[in-house]
Amino acid sequence: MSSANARTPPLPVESGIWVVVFGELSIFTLFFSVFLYYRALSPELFAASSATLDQGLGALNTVILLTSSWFVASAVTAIQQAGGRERALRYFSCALACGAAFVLVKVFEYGGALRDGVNVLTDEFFMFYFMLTGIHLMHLLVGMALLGATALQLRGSLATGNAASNTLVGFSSCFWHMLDIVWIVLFPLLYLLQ
Amino acid sequence: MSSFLIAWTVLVLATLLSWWLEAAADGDLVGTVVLLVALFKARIVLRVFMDIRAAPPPVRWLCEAWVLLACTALLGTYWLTPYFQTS
Repeated sequence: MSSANARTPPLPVESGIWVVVFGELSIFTLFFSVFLYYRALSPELFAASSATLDQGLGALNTVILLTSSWFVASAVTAIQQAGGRERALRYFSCALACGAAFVLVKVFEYGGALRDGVNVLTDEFFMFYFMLTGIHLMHLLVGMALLGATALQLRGSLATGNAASNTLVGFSSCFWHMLDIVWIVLFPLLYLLQ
Repeated sequence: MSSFLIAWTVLVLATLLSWWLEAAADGDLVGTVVLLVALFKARIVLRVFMDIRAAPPPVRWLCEAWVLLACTALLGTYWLTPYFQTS
């Protein structure tokens, strides 16, 4: 990753990608505001329920997604450099591994909560917790599928010698960074605010 | 040092700072700082990892507009809901 640098020209992406990214960010911003509204109505309940979450696991998942974003950004830079497609493939694979690690941590967290008898019906906080993290997780699985498709396409282009499609690379990378941004705000909302 | 490494380091340190701050102190001011740090981190991801800095001007403006919108929506709801509820 040390070879990544900001001097590489930006990857040309289709304008429709920004509609998806900023559309998703706007919807999630609305969700965040609704959460904060209900939190302000029952601050004690939200603080008590939030305190039962494992902040360490939330922080771990934040670092995992930040690292995955670094890999994806490095892949996009590498793909535009001469002979960088193999490196880009490795970076995309590492980002996918980070995505899998995030899912594992989340499943472990959900499993612990369900074993403790906590579920979506427990209280308002946990309704928001399962809904917001669940929607994010579903988006993350879509993001992983996109990264996987990008990696497969890159592998195919390496085998045939043809150029890889900028559209898929641009879309999957922007979508993945959008997921990172959503989690960056979700982490303090759900785990830190007391 | 690449810009990605610097951005990642700042992002991880900001995450740890928020975590520590929330554990060390309490109150609405800490909550406000934690939310602002989160949006600052989001802006770094947009500018460095998504390379918005090199994007066409409308996309850059859209990006800055979203950060401002999120700031207003989150802090507005965080601060004003209790006020309207009690008044």
